[in-house]
Amino acid sequence: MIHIALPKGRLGEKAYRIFKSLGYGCPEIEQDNRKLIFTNEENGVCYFWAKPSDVSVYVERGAADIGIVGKDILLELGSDVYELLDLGMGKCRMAVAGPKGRRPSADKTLRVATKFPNIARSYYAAQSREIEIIRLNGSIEIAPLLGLSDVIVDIVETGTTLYENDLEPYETIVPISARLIANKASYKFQYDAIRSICERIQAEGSRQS
Amino acid sequence: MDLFQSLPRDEESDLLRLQKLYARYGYDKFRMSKFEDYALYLQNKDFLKGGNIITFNGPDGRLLALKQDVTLSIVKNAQDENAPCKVYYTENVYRASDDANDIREIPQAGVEYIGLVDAYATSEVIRLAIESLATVSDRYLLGLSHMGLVRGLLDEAGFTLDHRLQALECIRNKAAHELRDLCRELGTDDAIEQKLCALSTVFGKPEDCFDTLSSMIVNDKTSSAVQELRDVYASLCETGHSDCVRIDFSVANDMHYYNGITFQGFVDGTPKSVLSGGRYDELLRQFGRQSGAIGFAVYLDLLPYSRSGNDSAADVLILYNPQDAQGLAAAIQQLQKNGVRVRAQNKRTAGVTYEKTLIFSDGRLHEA
Repeated sequence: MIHIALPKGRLGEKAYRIFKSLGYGCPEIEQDNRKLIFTNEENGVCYFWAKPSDVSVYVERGAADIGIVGKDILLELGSDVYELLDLGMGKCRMAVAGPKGRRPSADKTLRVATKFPNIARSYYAAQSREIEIIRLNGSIEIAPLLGLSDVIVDIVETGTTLYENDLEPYETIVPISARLIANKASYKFQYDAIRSICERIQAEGSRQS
Repeated sequence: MDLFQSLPRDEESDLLRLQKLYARYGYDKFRMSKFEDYALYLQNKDFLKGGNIITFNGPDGRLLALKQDVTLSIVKNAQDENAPCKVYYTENVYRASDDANDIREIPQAGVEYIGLVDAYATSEVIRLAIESLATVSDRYLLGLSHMGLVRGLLDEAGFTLDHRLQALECIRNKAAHELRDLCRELGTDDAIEQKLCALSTVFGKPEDCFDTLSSMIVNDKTSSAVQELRDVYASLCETGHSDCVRIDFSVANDMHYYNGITFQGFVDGTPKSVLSGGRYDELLRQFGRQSGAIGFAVYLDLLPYSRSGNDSAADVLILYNPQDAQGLAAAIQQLQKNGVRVRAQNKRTAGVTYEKTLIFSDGRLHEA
């Protein structure tokens, strides 16, 4: 039995549809019920929904054998897991953004508002830039508008929210997409089952491209 | 008769079994104090994987640390270059979490061989690692890799130190797609890119992987690495230690310290590796020594003791009235003679359950 952690939301639903199309369906998960864990003995899978930022924790600690998670979460948490596939979905980028047409002065400490302090810290450390991290949990775009920060480090998909608020992306830190991850011990003890899932996803990916 | 076989499997009995195993191969026991000079850890910070050092000032003002690692102390103290130093240890090490709010005492066992490391010595240490896994679990695997193959391929790719570290991280995470992107960004030769990607994904029984590994030979370093893996595996086959071995380069270790075979052990039911080791001649060079070294550590804190067996300290709880306890001791003794673990209390503890609860009154036991 392979335990699969899916991120709540559109990405997780899309990932489940892929698993289903490859023969890993689980009717229970499609029903309107209040269950938290969904098992299909016949297909040898057990799914559960988790907060996207928690998926890699479940996988790293072996509560799930595999999971779907954004590269942003992996980079931020530095999770000790196998990153087996780039699923090529949920594509966006981690970027620095700030007020349109202005670049913050390089001679003072840069105030950076972000949900991703580790990514921001290592990006600016590589540039030897002194920064002050302002840790926020949401609506990051408001920070530079209200003078709370000079820039933000956040995920940018289309950039619409930024442009509508007189902000713009300055630099791309890293491209982001969804990854299939696996627990390091599970991968060894359930190698055939996990490898077969990977190969089917890869074959489906090449068929579609 | 093995006296330890009758003990239930827990941390203490496993430590006894491991000591017995290492002593059977003639390894000396290494004992050390709880404290070590902070400078030793500071100078070799990269060798200590994670965990903050807990420091304090000694009486003479020296900065000391609670022992965080045993290998460094063994290497520091192994003086004789002419004779091999073969030691084992069972020690507690101390680590603080990243936020330093949580200090943990971690039981560790391990084996170190310092001296001229020949083919027999290498296979003996790996055999001991496999037997250590068998001591602590019924279902286990040993991932085997060779830093020579990793380094040899990275040499051919012509990567800078930063890119070598990035590539090693991709290999350790089995992230072939990331490795491919890195190679393409750096304009690496297609053939080397393919070999590096194959190295990150190769996994299986050695006899099924050796052809793939042979196809990765590009220079002397890679050639001798593959040959050493073949020789070690052949030696493990001779003694029936080969079933649990898997070729797996995600267990490759730090390039600054490790230079030959590296390995990690996994047991079913534990999400992380419970054993880690390899050939670390480079660490000895940092101490100005010319000999070689190979060893491993077993992390007993990671084993799933709490998830197996009975959590209760006793099978039967006997509740008694202090005014009516005549004959209680004899009744308990009778149960204990039959191998039952008995706990007597004059009051029930909330939230604790036992397989059976009995009440002692009128000189005998009653069902609750």
